[in-house]
This record gives sequence, C-alpha cells and structure tokens, in this order.
Amino acid sequence: MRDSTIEELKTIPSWLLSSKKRPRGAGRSSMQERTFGNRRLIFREGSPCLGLYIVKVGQAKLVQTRHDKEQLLAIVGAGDPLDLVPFLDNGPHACSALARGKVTLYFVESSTARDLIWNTPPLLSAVLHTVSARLRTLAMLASDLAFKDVTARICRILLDQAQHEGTRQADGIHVKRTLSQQEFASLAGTVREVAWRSLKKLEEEGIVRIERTEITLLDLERLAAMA
Amino acid sequence: MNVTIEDLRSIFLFAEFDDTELALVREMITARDYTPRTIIFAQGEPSPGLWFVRRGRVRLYRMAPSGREFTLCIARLDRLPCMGACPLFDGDKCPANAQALDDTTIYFIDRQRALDIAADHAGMVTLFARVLANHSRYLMQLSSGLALRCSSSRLIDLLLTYADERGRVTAQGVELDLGVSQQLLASMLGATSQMIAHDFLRLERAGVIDAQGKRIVILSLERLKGMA
Repeated sequence: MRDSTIEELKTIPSWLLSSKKRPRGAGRSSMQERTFGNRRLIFREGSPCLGLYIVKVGQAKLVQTRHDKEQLLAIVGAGDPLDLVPFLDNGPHACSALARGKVTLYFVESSTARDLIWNTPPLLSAVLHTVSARLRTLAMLASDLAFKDVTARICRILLDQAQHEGTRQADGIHVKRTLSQQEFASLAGTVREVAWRSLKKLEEEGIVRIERTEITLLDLERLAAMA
Repeated sequence: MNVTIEDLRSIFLFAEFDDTELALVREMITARDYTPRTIIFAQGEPSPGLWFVRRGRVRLYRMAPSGREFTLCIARLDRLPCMGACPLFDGDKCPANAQALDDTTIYFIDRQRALDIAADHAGMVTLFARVLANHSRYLMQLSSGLALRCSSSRLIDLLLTYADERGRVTAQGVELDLGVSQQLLASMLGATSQMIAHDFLRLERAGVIDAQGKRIVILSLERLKGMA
C-alpha cells in the first residue's frame, strides 16, 4: 500500500467515532465513492467481503433476512461504517446492507482496508469499540424480542427516538416520522399491520398522537411503564 | 490452582498464541471454580474483566423487570467460551448475568491487565477481535431468528444443531441429550415452557421425534428439516 494512502486514511479513526468529522480528502487514490439508489443492495449477508464501506452522505440499513422477511438491525448515517465483522475474523458479511434513500459511501478495497485496520492501532481500536457498542445493542435487541410484546417494543423505539431526536414542546415530545411503516415494523420485529395496530392503540389510550409527519409522545410515564 | 500452557491452548481462542504470549497470559490468569447455579457476574454490575470457560457450561442471560429470563447463549469450552467482551471496551456495566450450569472452571483476566497485554501483543488483540466477531455473528442470527421465525422453527433449528454437534446415530434415529431442562430450553428460545411443550408434542405426534425428558431421538432428520 502506498504511504500517501496510509497517511490519508489515518484520518479515519476520529471520523469513525464522530459523525461530525469528515476525512480530510482521505485516500483519494484508494478510497472510491459509490452511490446507491433507494433500497439497492450494497452487500448481502454471507457474501465475501469486498471492502470497507463508510457512509459519506445519506443512510444505509443493516438487516438480516429470512425467507423474504427482513429484521432491521441498525440504521447507519454519515460517518458510520457498515459491516465491520469481516475485518475481525476474515469471514463473510454478517448481515446485509441496503441503501435507505440515495446513499453515497466511501469504499476501500478489502485487503487495503484490512492492512490498514490491523496496522494502525488507533483505527483498530476504533473498529473494536464500534463492534463492541453494536454488540451491546444486539444483546438488548435480542432480549427485547424475546421478552416483550410488540406494543412494548414499539414503546421502547419511541422512547429511544424521543431521547435522540425528539423536541420537547408544551404538549409532549415531538418525534419526526423518519422511518417508513415497514422500517418501523421491522425494527420492532413484526409486520406492518401489527405495528400500526399497536401504534393506533397507544393513540386511542391518549399516550401518543400520530400525525402525518410526526408522533407526539403525550404521556412519557405510561410509555416508559409499558416499554 | 495451576494453569498450564496446555490448559490455555485447549481454549481455541488461544490456539494461535505463541509460547511467550501464552506464558504472559498464564501469569495474569486466575482460575476460579464455581458450583452449579452460582452467579459469576450480574447484569448491571461493573465488569472487572474477561472470563474464559475452561470446564463446564455457563448460561448468559438477561432478566426483565418482571423476573422473566432470556438465555442469550450457553458458553462452553468449544463454543463462545469468552465472556465480558462488551464491557472490556466501553467500560460500561455487564449487559447480562452469568450463571454456572455445571461444576465449572473459569479463567479470569483483569480488564486493565488484558488491555495492557493487548497494547504490546498482537495475539491478544486478535483474540479480542475474534471474540467480538463470534458474538456479533451469533447475536445477529439470534435476533433475526427471534423476530422472523416462530418458536417451533427455532426449536427445530436447535434440535438440528444439537444433532449435528452431539447426535449419536442409533437404529431408531439420531439420539441426543439436550443437557438442559425444558424451562431453560424455553428461555433459550425466547418462549414459555408451555409453548415448548406444545411444540415437542406436535413433533412427537407427527412421528418425527421421540422425546423422553432431556433425551430426544430424531426419528427422521429429513422430515424435521422440512418442518423448520
């Protein structure tokens, strides 16, 4: 690998950890940009890992699929890497990735990325920390799927959204409806009809108010008790 | 308790360590014995380090506020033997409880000492990476299985996995010992004991298995696969 590439890509560690930072012209010679249209497959679970993808602009979904059904594991945005697991064990992709809307990704070919990760301690550390954080989220997701009914899982998703992207107003916390009904259902580990029924039930009980572009969490206490 | 280099090498995660690294790890390891049902560490408590299962089985499980338990995995020498990987990096609390299922021997390494070794020895970093990768792959499969498959399909998958790992071919079919109670099995499959009992009954009535407590005979592997 060329020295200039290494130097340029060494900007990635802080960038991996903070979505606010962009690489300063990182590795133009080795880093390509690839753009995918909405719902286009970026890579498939079980396929050989061809390279490291990091979101430049837009969002991607990490999913697992079984018999055409999709379980959403995470939505990743600018600055986030997609599947890192193959760089730790040389295995195939652990999940599939799909574009969520139009997404532009940085791409570094697999052997270059692997060399770089394993020869740049701060980058390796960033990768290990990122995978570790995702592992913790996966443990929570698995137990939520096992313990909780759909309504409880939906309450949990709404509370998470309120915490990360909600705005407090006089009548409650307003959360933009950035997920499609299908994505919302997939995140809750259910189908669209069941997720929608549960959401409407919460509205009937005066816990949330559903509008076209946002959901208002009117009774946080009850929502938290049900989550 | 003396830990030998060979003891360490028997844990596959250490298989690629050179003798110098193994000697270093041996100096830092404390071997601890636990009797069945002993809690090794608890969900929500600070994690002091990494645990490796040398002998016996350890159940990693999460507990809901209602008291219901969900078994994330059963750690043993040949499968997911390392515990404590999450808190190793983020310094946060243990995401799960760990309970010995058998008479168990655990090798323990203090968190800071593990990180110190990793700073100078690539073998330890490779080990961390493999542990994180193994657990990530396992939990992704587990999550999608829970979301996208019903309890009977998950039970069939588990029976097929066990048949492959530990099944014994007999005149009747493939015989296996589940090694866990039906309650624990239900906790592993994210179901209730009643649901699992119902699933077993359905498979028995279909003539696909013969269940006698923890001893199961799979009468037709092909038919069982077809029902998954």
